[in-house]
Amino acid sequence: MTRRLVWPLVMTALSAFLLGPLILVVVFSFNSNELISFPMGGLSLRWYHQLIGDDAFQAALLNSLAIALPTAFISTVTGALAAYTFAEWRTRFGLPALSVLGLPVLLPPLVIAIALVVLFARWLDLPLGRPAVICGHVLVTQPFVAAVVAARMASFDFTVLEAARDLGASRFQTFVKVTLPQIRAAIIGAALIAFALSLDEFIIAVFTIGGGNTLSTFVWGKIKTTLDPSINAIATIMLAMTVSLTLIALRLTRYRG
Amino acid sequence: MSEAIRAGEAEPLLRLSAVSKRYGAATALHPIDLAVTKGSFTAILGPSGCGKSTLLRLIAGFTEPSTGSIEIAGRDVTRLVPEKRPTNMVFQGYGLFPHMTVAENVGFGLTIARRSRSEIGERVAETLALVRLEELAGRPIQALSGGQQQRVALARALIMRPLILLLDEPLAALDLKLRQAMQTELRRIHKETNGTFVFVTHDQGEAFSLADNLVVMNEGRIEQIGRPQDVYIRPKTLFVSQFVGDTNILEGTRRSGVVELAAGPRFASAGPDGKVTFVLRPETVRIRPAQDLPSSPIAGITGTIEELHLLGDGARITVTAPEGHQLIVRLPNPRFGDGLAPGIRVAVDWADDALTEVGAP
Amino acid sequence: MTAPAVKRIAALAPAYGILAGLFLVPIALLFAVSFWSVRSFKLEPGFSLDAYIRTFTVYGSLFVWTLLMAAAVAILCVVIGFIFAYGARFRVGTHGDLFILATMITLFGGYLVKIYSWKAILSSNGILNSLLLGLGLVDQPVGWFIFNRGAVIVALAHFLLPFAILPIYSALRNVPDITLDAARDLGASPWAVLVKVVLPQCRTGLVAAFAICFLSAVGDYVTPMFLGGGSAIMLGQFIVSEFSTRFNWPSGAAMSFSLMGASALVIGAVWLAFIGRRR
Repeated sequence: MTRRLVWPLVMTALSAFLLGPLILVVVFSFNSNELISFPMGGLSLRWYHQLIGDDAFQAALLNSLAIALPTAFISTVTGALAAYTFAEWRTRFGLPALSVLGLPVLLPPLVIAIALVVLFARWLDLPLGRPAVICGHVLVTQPFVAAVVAARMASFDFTVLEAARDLGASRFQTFVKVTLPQIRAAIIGAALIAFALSLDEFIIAVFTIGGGNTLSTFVWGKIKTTLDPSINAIATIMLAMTVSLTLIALRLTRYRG
Repeated sequence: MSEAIRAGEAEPLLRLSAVSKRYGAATALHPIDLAVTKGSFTAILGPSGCGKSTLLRLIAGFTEPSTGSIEIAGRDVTRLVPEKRPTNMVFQGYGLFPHMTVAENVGFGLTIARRSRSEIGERVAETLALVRLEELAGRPIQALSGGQQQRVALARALIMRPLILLLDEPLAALDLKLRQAMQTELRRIHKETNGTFVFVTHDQGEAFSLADNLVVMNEGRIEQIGRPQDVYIRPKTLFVSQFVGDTNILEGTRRSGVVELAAGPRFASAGPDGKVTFVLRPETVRIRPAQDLPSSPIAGITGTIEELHLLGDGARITVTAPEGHQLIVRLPNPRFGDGLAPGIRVAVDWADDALTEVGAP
Repeated sequence: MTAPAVKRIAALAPAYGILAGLFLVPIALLFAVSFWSVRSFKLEPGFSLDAYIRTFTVYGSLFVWTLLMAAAVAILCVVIGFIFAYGARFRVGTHGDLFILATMITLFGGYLVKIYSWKAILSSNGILNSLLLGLGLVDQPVGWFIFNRGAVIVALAHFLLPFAILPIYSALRNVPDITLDAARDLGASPWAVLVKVVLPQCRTGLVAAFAICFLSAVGDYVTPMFLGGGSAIMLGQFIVSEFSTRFNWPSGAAMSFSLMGASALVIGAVWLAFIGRRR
């Protein structure tokens, strides 16, 4: 009987290691004390109130959304187009070619960040700012979109497209009425993943944003100085956004790594 | 050889006593007793979900029985883990190690047993020769065809010289031609190794062509054990008669030693009074046009040919008697010019011993 | 060219255009910059190996330390990740999916939050110390929880663990249960089944997990900056300062490319050792 409990215990302990630190952050965001330590004070929303009144927080949130939305849109279009085209092409170079898109994810984001800074500042003589951040984020999110859509396309039955054409549908009608409904969930899921990744990304953002803050760089500015309990509230808000986006995306795509 | 004689033989190699298996509220296997003698080739035959694979896994040790005990060569192995049992298994789907070559797969068990390199090499070569795969020793598993993989799985188990070789639907994944070829191979290997084989199948043709001992299972119970021909000719239950081959079911009533079938014929048959069920194999039924009727049929029915299917190696004829009773007749070769055709009135009869009484359905 | 070919190229152009224009070209330019030199805060194009020489002399030991730290994190992640993925796949029945979900929900977010939470937990007036003090296990706050290599390794391993679990788990999902049964049937003990049947079948997943974790750890600078204490302990911290405060781009670029080159060698060696010779 005890041997049967070993694995569930090991798994629970490891899950606790994975999720525990995050749960602590969430728990302490509702703590009324100034100090992030035990014993805890009462239940309170004071850190959230403080945040909402903070203009810098609002600006950072708006900035983040103004970056994550275009990022998600662009990388979903480019990534999905690439994945769909190779799937429809049915060439054996499709998979290797798609993996090439993943190269930016293999390098440290720091290197991508400085390469972009060098490109913008030295060679193009363009100012840094939101467009630069979006460039960097599209680069690192489009491989995820391509992977999710390619996984969906792997089980896509192309004969249904021929069947639709055979039954009189035009190319465009076939795409809208047959193809799109089948891959829509995967594409929306991929867009949500790209959105979450962009929202959370820090290193590229901090190098290429120029002035101003995103949510990540705002958090960074705060943790660099002290352990201010309001960080718990921002962290909780960021976690709530990325985790719920991820959950919906996983649900939609049934993507498993 | 009846079961009574079987039980009187020397100590069986494998003995299951009152072995059952429950999963929560569901019963996979009702308590069963089974004995397998050394050198036999036993087939466990039944439809899917009848508990035959559970039975095999119990023998191999992958499942612990809920009740009962399992003995191999006089030793209680009920609680023994699979790696310690003197059995080896050919798995359904083979379960070959994809990261190893043919020779590495076959030599795996001996490597685990820490045999010397030279012994392993020798026995791998010997076993690969037995299954006729000598040339493929160095190939990766993925490069093999289904039939070749099946031989590797066989060799991998045989090399361990198991007291009992267990085979779980060994031929199910092969196409018809290959399946027939492998049946011949399995018989040869059984003979050459003097082994004791227990195999599970849902295919009665396979069971009949391979086994000298047949166990028919249904819904977690053993329906009948016996030599294949005995099981075929004398099925004990309606299920066995229907599962093993084509059959006619004749119902009737017995009063003081005389049975009257619903389809007409009356004959003497000892037994308790009441409703009775008999089965009649289609190929034991005799058929002729009605005008050739012998003056005094022993037991027979007259009717009309409803359908006549030519099967290539014979014909299958459906005869409808006046009250709607149908009888299937199989002729070994269609005798054209016999006047047999749909719509023709015919008389059918059978020898006394062709009828077998079975337990109530 | 046929019409479908033109359409296909048009459809692929955006993704690969972005890859070329925003990645391949800038990286090539950065590579060129790594051979330039700096005189009084001004970049001078040319060909000089000074920046590389500087990387391996001035920062030599830090360079090696960075690789060692990344290797430690990657090995830790692969080992723990394997235990977790193996448990989820083979040892907890249908609950496995739930445990995998637990690792996936934070996959696409939480980078800074995770680092920050470790600071909140480990610092001398943090959660762990307050707990220990409250329980009377220590008299005064323990200082060595934070600001050392151990804290950095723990936090990095925590962040990267899901990225190790997933490739290993998907490799394990392709290991048929029946091969485990077959091995036991042939006499293998549970340990032998693990070593001879399970591990070899998922080694590509293990190497992929190692590569992902190693690459992510080796270039990280935020974690060591927060949890590593006052002096820099990983090269990434110097790359950042070369770019943001000292304006010595060639030096920062040379460090980056040296680090990536060394990482490629490490991963190549791991790949050769575990996979290469068997293919």
